[in-house]
Amino acid sequence: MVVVGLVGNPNVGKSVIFNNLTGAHQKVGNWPGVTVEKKEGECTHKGTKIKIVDLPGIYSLTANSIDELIARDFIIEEKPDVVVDIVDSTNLERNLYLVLQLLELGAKVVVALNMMDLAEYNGIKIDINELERRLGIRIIPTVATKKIGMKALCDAILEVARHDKEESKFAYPKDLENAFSEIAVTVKEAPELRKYNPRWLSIKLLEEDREIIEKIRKTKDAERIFKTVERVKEKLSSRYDDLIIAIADARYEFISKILKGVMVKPRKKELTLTDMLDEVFTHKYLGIPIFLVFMWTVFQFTFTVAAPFSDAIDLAFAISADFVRSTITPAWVASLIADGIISGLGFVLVFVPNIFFLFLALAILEDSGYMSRAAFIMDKLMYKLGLHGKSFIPMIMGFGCNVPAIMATRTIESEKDRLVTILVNPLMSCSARFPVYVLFGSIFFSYYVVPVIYSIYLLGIVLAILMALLFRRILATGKPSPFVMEMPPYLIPSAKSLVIHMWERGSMFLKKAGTFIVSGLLLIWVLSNIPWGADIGDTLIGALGHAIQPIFAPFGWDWRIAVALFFGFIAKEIVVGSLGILYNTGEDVTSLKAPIENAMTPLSAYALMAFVLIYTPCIATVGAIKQETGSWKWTVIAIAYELLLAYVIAFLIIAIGTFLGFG
Amino acid sequence: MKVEQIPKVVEATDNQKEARIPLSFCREGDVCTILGFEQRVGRRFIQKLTSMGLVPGVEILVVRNNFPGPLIVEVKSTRIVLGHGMANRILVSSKR
Repeated sequence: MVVVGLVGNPNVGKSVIFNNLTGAHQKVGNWPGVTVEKKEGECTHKGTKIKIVDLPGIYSLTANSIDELIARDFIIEEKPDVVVDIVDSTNLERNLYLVLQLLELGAKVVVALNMMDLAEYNGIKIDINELERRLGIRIIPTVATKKIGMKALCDAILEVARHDKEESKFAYPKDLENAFSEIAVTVKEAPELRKYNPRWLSIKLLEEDREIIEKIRKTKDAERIFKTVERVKEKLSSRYDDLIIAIADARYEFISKILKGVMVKPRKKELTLTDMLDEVFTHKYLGIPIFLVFMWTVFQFTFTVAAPFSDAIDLAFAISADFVRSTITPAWVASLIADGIISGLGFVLVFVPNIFFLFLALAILEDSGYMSRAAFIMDKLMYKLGLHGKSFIPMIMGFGCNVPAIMATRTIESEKDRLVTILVNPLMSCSARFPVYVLFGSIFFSYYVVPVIYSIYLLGIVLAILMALLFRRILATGKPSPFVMEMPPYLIPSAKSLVIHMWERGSMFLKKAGTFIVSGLLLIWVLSNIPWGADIGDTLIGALGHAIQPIFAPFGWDWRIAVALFFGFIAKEIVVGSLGILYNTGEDVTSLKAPIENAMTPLSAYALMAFVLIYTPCIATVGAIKQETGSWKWTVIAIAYELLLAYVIAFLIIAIGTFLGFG
Repeated sequence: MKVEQIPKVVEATDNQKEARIPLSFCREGDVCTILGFEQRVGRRFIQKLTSMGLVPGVEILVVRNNFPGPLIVEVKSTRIVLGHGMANRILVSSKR
């Protein structure tokens, strides 16, 4: 078997190539110790099994973020047989920077020169044979979206895997090379470092790579190595102001030398689609209104397009529950299946179309390249909150689901910025909370349901802003960290990758529905039927509800609501589902109308919606916060502040509402 | 006429070599050459900027400058967003 690591800059079509090569044979897991997704796949080419590991999109092998560290560690520790670097052929200069670093590392590299069609369209001509010769590696032209070049890529992988690595043809200026050798001599003497390429370690030491410095600090020879590094730096200081820049400079210089005569670019740049769209979408004054229109469209799309699908699912569950009730005996089994499982699950699955369409809409925004523009136009606002534009993307994703949103914060370099973004993310109302708003909104505010639900979303955003300011104060972070981010060219997203994106995130919801939610609902059913046949208020769940109800008494919520909120801690989907069980209405959502209408006032319903917005979204989010912050302290703080804030806000709504005469 | 204009252009370029201004002061449509980073720029960010192609000596086009907000620059045919704070610390020479 040949093991291949797939690397490349962000936005080069890496995942498309990964999908092309591996098809359905994929395994998604996590990298050990971190929550960054690890994707592995397999394919068989000419009788040889090829295992492909998709590494995170990176610009360099200097480990500045978790992504870079993972990609690098995989290459230096696990030593894959071949590293395939996917390169954007419209942007060779910058992309070759990573190729050079891979060569420095001593990896066996195959380059996939992707997006060749786009390069041709832009009038860029590349002499691939000459480029192969000058770099001393195999280079395969590909068009991932049209599956062109995949076979040739596999051929090259097998061929390179069989042969020994050729010496890299890339050399730094003499004085730098001498410096590397001088450090390499001392590095070589340390037995702990024997498995690494000593020249590469020397380069990284001069580039002040934190991770490598830490690694060396742990060896017995640390003092001697650092002394040598200092001596070498001292010697070079007369020629170079800054070694990081000098080394980067040398790489870019080598790249431009290599590309001379190999790549021909049209002299006069034509106005591209990206230029034109950016003119409008990033406009100082038009940018934000356009963004708001897009967001409004996303929500409209999500809710109107999904409606007929939701109705169909609702109907299907109602019919099957009826069928079970009328055919299965004994009665308690029928009730368990019909009321406990089918109805409960039905309440949850009704929202699957909404959730999938929301993820589809978000995937379109992301894949088309618009999301990074949104980050640009919102940067000024985010700056006032002490964050920057990059924090904005996880916030938007939070409307879909807080779990992937919290994971998406890992592109934020500054730990403190990241922590603030994670802590306030649950206030972005995820799609699981939406059913609660719809249920109570349509019962109590029939005609005004849309503005009422909108106000809940806005409340979440306002609270997120206030909490972000508060957390910044607590963490005393001062100014936001520097903001640098690539803006990919606009692309018409491919249907396949949209579906994959939508499915990857949407299926998390299905998984949640299948595990947490069903078991939560079953538990509620069981508790609500012991003792069997008793009035629901006298069952175990009734006892639980009556025990915790006093906490919520000021808000005018009865014990059923208390139970629903209690189990809603597991997942917000359970709130609606459990109300179905508790009011024992079965069938569908509309049958909940009468009993709930009698149970509370519009004001206390609004307070309930706000409470559901604010308190801990679900167990999965708590898990994501724990994993991403790596700290129980901050996880507990997140849960505590959300519960407290939810209570305070619900209380304020009741108090102010009563004062204004809405009670 | 054309012949007369040439020295003027050369002179202008010479003058601008002297001018070191923060990138955030450039106007949209300006083509600038990066001269260096201010001392306050962290080491990690220099590593980040250089890996994205922002090295001294490179020519960049200012696509957008929402002063005092972020900028969009084009470098080596890629568009990059730079926060205002970051752009304040990148020193460039600018020609129009």
